[in-house]
Amino acid sequence: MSIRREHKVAGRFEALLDLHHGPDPDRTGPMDGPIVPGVALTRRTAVRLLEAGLQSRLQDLEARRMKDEGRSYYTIGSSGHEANAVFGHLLRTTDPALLHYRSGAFVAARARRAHGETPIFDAMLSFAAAAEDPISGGRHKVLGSESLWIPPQTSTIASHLPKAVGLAIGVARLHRLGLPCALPEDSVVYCSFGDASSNHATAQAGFNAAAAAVQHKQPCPVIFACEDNGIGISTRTPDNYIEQMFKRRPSLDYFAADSRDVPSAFTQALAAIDHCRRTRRPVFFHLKTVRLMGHAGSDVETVYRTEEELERVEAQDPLLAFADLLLSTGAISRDGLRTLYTDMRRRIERAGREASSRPKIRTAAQVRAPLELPAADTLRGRSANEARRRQVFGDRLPEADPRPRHLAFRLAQGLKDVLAAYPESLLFGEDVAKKGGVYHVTAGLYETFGPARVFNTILDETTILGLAQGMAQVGALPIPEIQYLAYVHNALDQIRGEAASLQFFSEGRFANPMVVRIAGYAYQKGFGGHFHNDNSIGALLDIPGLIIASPARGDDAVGMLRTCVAAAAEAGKVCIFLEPIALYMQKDLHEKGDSLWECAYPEPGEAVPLGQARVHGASDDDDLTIVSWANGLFMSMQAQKRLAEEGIRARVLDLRWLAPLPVEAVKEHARATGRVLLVDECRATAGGPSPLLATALATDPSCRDVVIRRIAGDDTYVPLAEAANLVLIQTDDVVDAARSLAQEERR
Amino acid sequence: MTRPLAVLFCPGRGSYGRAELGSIQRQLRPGPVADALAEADDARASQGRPTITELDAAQSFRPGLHLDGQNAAELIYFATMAWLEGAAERYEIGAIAGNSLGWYTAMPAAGAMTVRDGWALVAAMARLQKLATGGQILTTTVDPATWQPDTALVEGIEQALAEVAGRGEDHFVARSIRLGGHEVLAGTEKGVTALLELLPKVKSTEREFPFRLAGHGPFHTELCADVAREATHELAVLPVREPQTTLIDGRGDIHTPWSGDPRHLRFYTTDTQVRTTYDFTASVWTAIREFQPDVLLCAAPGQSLRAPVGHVVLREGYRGLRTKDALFASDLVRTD
Repeated sequence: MSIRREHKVAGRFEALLDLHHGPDPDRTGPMDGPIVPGVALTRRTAVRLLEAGLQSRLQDLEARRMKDEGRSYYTIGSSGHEANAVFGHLLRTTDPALLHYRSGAFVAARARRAHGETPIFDAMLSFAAAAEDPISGGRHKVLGSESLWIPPQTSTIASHLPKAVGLAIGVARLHRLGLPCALPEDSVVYCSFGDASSNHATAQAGFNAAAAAVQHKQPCPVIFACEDNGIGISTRTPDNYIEQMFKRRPSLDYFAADSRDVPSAFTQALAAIDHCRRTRRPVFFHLKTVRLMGHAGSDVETVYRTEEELERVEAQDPLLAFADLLLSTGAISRDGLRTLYTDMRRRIERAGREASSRPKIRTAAQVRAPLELPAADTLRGRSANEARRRQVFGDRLPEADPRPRHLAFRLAQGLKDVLAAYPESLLFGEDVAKKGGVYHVTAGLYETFGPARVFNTILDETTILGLAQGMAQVGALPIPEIQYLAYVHNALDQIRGEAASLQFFSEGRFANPMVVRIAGYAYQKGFGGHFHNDNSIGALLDIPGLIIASPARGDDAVGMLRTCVAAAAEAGKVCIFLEPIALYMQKDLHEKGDSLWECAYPEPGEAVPLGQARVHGASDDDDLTIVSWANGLFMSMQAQKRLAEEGIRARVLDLRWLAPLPVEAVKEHARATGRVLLVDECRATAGGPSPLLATALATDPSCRDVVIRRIAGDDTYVPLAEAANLVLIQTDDVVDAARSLAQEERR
Repeated sequence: MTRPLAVLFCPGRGSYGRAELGSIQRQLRPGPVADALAEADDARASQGRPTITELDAAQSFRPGLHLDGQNAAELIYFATMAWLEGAAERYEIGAIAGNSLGWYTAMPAAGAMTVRDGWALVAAMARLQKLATGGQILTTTVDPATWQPDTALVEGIEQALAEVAGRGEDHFVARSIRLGGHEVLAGTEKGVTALLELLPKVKSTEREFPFRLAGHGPFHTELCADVAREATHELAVLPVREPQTTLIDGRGDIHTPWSGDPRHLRFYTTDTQVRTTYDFTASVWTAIREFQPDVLLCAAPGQSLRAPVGHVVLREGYRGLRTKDALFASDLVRTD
């Protein structure tokens, strides 16, 4: 029994070349006539599809050979799925394609529809992880192309389906708004995945979002192409599973075809594309395929499939059936096919050798380059002109209003300014429209900017973030809102694995700029319990390339929002804007009526530089530095006054940015005062940034004389009522810790 | 012994010069090329024009005669076709491309037309090109000594094009051919004259860029829209067939023997490439990356494509070649 199947699969094809009986006189005809009666596929186009399929198949075989020789690093292939070339051929090169990893033939066929593409060498550069790989720059084996509108996908967990919906809806919305859009108005979005992947929650979110769009009478021209090979790695998909699950699903128009009958698949694909483009409704296209040569090169199929079964599957090879059809109908001669096969194999082998010799990524800095954040002084930002601002604000501009205002009020004004300055900005989420958000942060925006720019979404965070990604890729500047921090965890991979990684996996060729507003943290006076008081942001802090802003005060919030929007608009960055719910309506700092937590509105153009901390109340002879942010800042500043009354001078450093974290500023003030107290309102074990800061201080020789102390929340979920205060740090805790620290000898 | 795998590049106008006199006769063998040449000579003689054989056999090169569009085009065509018969024995040709006029040669060279029909195409296009008035300029974006790109030159060309184009319709200028590190620009008389003044000057040991290409029209620009219209009409039944060797066109697109579409090839030949930029750079790029040849074979006559092909090799770093010296030492780009 053989473990490796490559020779078997290739051998069957080569045997066909030797043994085929030749054209059947009853089935031959002109090259530009239908290959079988009644179909749209001509013999000539069929040969072109076969060329794409063969290219894909031979690339798979070469990738495995390269792997054996230590020249390639990826062997998940497309063998058995080559019929997806029909979509590659039939769709326009401006119809965005979000492809799963078995779409080699789609890419090959689409490349032939464009000009000057070099798909073979591009694929080989990708297999070899060469730095010249024209999509990821050697960072990952992805199917992608800037010129062919194939944004690279991780696609292993169908996490690209929500953004496919976002693209489809985004194109329609930008055109409706008369805004520049990267794609024509009648584009359709193609999104492929496997049968097993259709079970992923993200896939289901995508189907649901598309169907919901139909119910909400919104155009959603997306083709979900499910390539059903009947098995997910080693787990069998039940017979007719996909059909049973999707054929009668409301608002998804179902089409089906079998890879072993390419002419029929071609006709069905043509009908599906036409239907989708014409009706702007989502389509579910069920393409039956087989999987050849295992899940990947490392997958030993014989552990879970018998030799007989493998032989049976391999005999069903769609490429074999297609080649047989072409030979029988005279579309290609046996000699012609043999020459095509050997010519293609030679081109791919040579390309593989050359690609292997090309330089790889050599330094960590090169790896990280697409994640680099813009330098703080390079962002320009944008303000609407005065006339436009008067139009949206009324005659009294917010900066001219002398009354100090609280955070939620200033945020609403800041958002209004952003929406006025950036016509492409769209604000959406749960309850953000007429209701103006749970905390009124988006109050008035729907009325000012209308339902096309400020709108409610369905109640699903994965959908919200998928919409944002898709819309951003075609030219919108999405400002989605996640209603509570706990809810983002439900959809976190849409940030971690998808939005934040796009620039990395495309070497900056694609971007999905956005500012995700998240209302979060605890301290809601015992109301709401954990899911409205989630105080762990650890899952965001380690995401490469992400910008995380977390203001505590209204003036900072407006300035930081401007910076985030500029970083998104000008550098394509994904920004998280974490807003402390408990401070939204806070007016006073120390006592009722002091209004010290209210602020003036920053002048237009005033922004908070990326990564810049703010220090409150520093003097030359401070005893210690308290480092905090958000609710912690509020408590620290309350503590600062009480400590001063005891004769302890503390300066308070507001981090403001959690990424990039202002580590140097923290060190500088720590060194200046010799003592630093890290006040972290999040869970002690990596819930917030204090462990990172503590490590940074402790491991920096220039801070060796600094005494470092830290207080943080308990490692627990936040309970209801007064019990919440038992596990969250309080102002008293800050005072106690600071007092204790101040009594410690400086080193 | 297996022959080296080559991609063939057929040259365009300006490739048949003094040194090429007699080359057709020297290389001609009995067969389809000789037959087509005889037919061409007969046709020309009957029109009272000098035959190709006479022009090739001339004792001296007379620019006014040899560079005339209708003479030069056919001379070059037959010079390539006569040379090719020998070359095909030395190399396995994996794909064929051409530069400008060389595209017409590439078609029969790849078997997409007969040699005789290729001549008819070349002759017809040379005649129709006279419908367009204007000229062509050759300039460069690389340092002639090293063949490395010079961004100042690239910017200078962009600026000159923008400035001249801004002077109005009678100053129409456009990119005509992307020619490796060289650029062929074309336009109306006024446009070309203005460009010559504004383009950055570059001296090499052999010549100074930019310079006017004698006898050339505003090929591959919208100024040839009438040419395209007439050609599409007149050559509507041009017998194009599936190529026997893969063709790479002036967009870098491939037309294979198995799926190449004669209708597309005909339309591309008589319309698209006539009035849009000919991207020879893209065809070399495709040749290198997608066919990975052992030899980049620049067909006779002349050696005009050596440098443009070489520029693309260096830009791509093909087979590790990144300097002019390394390239010359490699023997990758050949003319025989």
